[in-house]
Amino acid sequence: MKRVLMMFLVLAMACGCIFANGAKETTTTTAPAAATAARPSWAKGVDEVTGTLTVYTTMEETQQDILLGLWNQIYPKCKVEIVADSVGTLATKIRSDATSGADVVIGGMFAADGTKYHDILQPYTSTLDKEQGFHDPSGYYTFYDVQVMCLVVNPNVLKDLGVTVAGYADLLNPKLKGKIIIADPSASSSGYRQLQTVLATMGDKFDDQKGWDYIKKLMANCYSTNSSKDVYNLVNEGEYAVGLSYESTPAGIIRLGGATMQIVYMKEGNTAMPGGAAIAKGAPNLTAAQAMIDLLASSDFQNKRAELSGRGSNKNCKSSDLPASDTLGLVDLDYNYLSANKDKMLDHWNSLWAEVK
Amino acid sequence: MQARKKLDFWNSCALIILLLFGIFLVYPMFGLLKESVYVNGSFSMDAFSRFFHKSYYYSTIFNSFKIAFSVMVFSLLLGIPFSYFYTFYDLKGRKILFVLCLLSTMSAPFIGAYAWVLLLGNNGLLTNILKAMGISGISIYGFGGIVFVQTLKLFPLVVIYMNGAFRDIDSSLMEAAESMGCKGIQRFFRVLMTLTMPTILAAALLVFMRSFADFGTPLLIGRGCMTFPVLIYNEYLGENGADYHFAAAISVIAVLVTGIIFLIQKLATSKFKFTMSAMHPIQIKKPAGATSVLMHFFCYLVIAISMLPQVYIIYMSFRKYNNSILLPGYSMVNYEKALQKNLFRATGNTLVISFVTLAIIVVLAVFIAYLVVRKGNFISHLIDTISMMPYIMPGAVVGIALVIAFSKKPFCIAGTLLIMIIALAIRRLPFTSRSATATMMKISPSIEEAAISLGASKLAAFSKITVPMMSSGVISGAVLSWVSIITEMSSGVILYNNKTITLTLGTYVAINNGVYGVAAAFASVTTLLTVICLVIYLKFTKLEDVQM
Repeated sequence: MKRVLMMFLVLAMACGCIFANGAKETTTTTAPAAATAARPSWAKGVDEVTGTLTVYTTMEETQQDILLGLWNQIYPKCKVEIVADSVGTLATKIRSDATSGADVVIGGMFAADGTKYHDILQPYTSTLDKEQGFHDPSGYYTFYDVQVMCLVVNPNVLKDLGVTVAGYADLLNPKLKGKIIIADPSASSSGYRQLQTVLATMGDKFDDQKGWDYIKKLMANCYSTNSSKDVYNLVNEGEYAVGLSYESTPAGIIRLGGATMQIVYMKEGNTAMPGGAAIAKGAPNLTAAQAMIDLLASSDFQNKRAELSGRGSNKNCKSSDLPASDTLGLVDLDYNYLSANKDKMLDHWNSLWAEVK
Repeated sequence: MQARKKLDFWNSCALIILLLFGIFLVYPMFGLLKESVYVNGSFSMDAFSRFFHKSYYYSTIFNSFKIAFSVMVFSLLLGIPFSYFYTFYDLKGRKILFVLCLLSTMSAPFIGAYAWVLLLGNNGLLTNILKAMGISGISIYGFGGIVFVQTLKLFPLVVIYMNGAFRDIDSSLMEAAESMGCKGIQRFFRVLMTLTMPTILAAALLVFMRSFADFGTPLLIGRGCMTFPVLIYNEYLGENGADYHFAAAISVIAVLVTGIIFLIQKLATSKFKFTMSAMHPIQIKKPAGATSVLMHFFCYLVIAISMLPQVYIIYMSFRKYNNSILLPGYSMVNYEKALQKNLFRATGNTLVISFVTLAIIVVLAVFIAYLVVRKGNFISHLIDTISMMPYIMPGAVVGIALVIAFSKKPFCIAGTLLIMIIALAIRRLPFTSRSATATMMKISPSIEEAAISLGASKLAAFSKITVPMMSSGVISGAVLSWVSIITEMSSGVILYNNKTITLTLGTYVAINNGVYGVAAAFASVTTLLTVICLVIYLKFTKLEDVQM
């Protein structure tokens, strides 16, 4: 009996090894069809971009599908490996794991972040930089998205509670206690962006006591999560009534159909900030990384993205049918102030949270 | 006559094991300790003071403690009667009951938590049914929900422990008690419980530790009730934790707290030292009348509730999902997407990691058992103590310690299968070495001595005589170790990357990314895998022999 058991163990390990090696062949080719559109002029040659590209991204599924669909059309010889998580987790993983092999970091990094992530990135200016509406003065980031914030609400839950929500002030309604979900600004870039927006619209001056007083009251009604995907997914599922989210993904999901959630733009105002991607320091596949950054900056990608949802940064790209920016009550943000004070604001948030909870 | 001790096989064995422990266990622990008290190159206890300063932080210890204690109590309340009915009475379908009982513990707790959210969340299936009937206010979130989910996952461990203990009881003791006028319930408590107290305490400690260290369940449904492992995880992965200073400090505190619990348990167990030889094992009786109905009802109800999440997930894996939106109808889209998301690779990794870890653990456990029982010298006791250390380290702590120690050159193995195997081996070794030691103690040394006196070398005597005699005991413990390896998540979530992802971690990542259909697909494949292995395992071992 022992010998049979031994043989079984060996067999199982062998099977495992076969699986583990064979798995490398299952690629994420979603649309390897022949390119019906003409190959973009700025794209590198098909044979230039090969191997594997390791992408660390905050993009969620629908946006990944768009990106990969286009990528596999243009560079069918290069396989993309995706690690998707919130920006805080991605940064920690890259910093702690010398073998992470990250080539590009897409999303989660915004104009106001300053030099925060420069220790894991390297500078690169895209070949399409002149088409861009926004440029990174330090030469690290390539922007592809202009991010606007919003509230996601579940109309059924709100109806049950007898509450209407038109903006931040309505969130302090005691009936909403425990029914609001926010992303933790320390872990999630959209959480930090919401923090900026709240401070910009709910205080008289940015980062003043009035703004933080509002935040303290808001915290009492909220639960937090590490992942911005939880915010709109759980509101959609009906687990929460309201979530403080970014605009592009929930708008896209709603457009695809079948969603219960709705988007509400805060009547107090909004902020827009370009967000983008960068090449990781010591990227193993530099050529492919540069190709990916160029793709993100291109109007080809941003148009496709805008068809679903999202505001592009390329001057040539079509605008999506999201509400025009002049209807949102946009407030300007001081990027220098933000990059100098990010740690201070996050600490303030954390200690306030620890006090309230 | 040797004046010096020769470096014989066992001494060199002991030294090798000590060396392995030193590199993979002691060195990371010291790294963790150093990280917690050194910041910017100078010694400082600021992390510890920060922890105790804010109730948000130190209340997590209380939360974890309260939860673990409640889970322990409820698991005992569920598990002991279940095991009693199962061992003493001939219930209908008892084989199926036991297999289902094993199955319900064979998936990671957070998968159950995720299914319970679908069922009992704010918008869950059962919640809506109950609301239609006018019952509201039941929520799976928070303290109650965590205790509920974890109890259902962990009570089978109590059942397995208690089965072994009850089977070892000499029925003549029970009859003697009855003849002295102590019957029924009284006999149950005064005789049966006292005789099995060491096992009860061991099971209680195990459940407590598992619940305390559980990370996945509180992460998913702990809204408002932050627990220790979740805090460690958040601090480690939160952006402000660029150095792991605070997370390391919390980890050190975690180890101290669990160490104290462990010592308390040891103290309690030492009051119950006795041995028993089961000359007259318990005879199974046929239950009768109302008690029979109640017994069957209890057992089947408990099993039905604990199997519900897994069954529901398998059902959900065939529903049509468009990423996070559930559409009406059925489809295989989840499995297709899962294949794109490394399902194959995860399965392969899971098989490789689990079997290699199991092999390492079994070999090490057998050697350690021999050294401790036969060669009780200083080195073997040192090895024994060090090998028990991980017992009190929550998984997240092990993960962080290994990352700190092995992410820089020259030891750069972070991000490989090897580091995950090491983490799992460290975490699960104490259980197997305990059971191997217990088995070893039952083997009389005279058999080996006889072999040696007949000319066999020490190694031959060990491998041809002792190991076969131990094997059945060790192998029956193997399946549960294997299952606990597969469902382990708390250290894996810190150590994994895309290349080393396992099935359980794949499920977690999918839930995190909101692709719930894919998560269900991953979970279902995990269940299938464990069922297959359980079936194969049961072909070789009798159901009764399954033990820890």
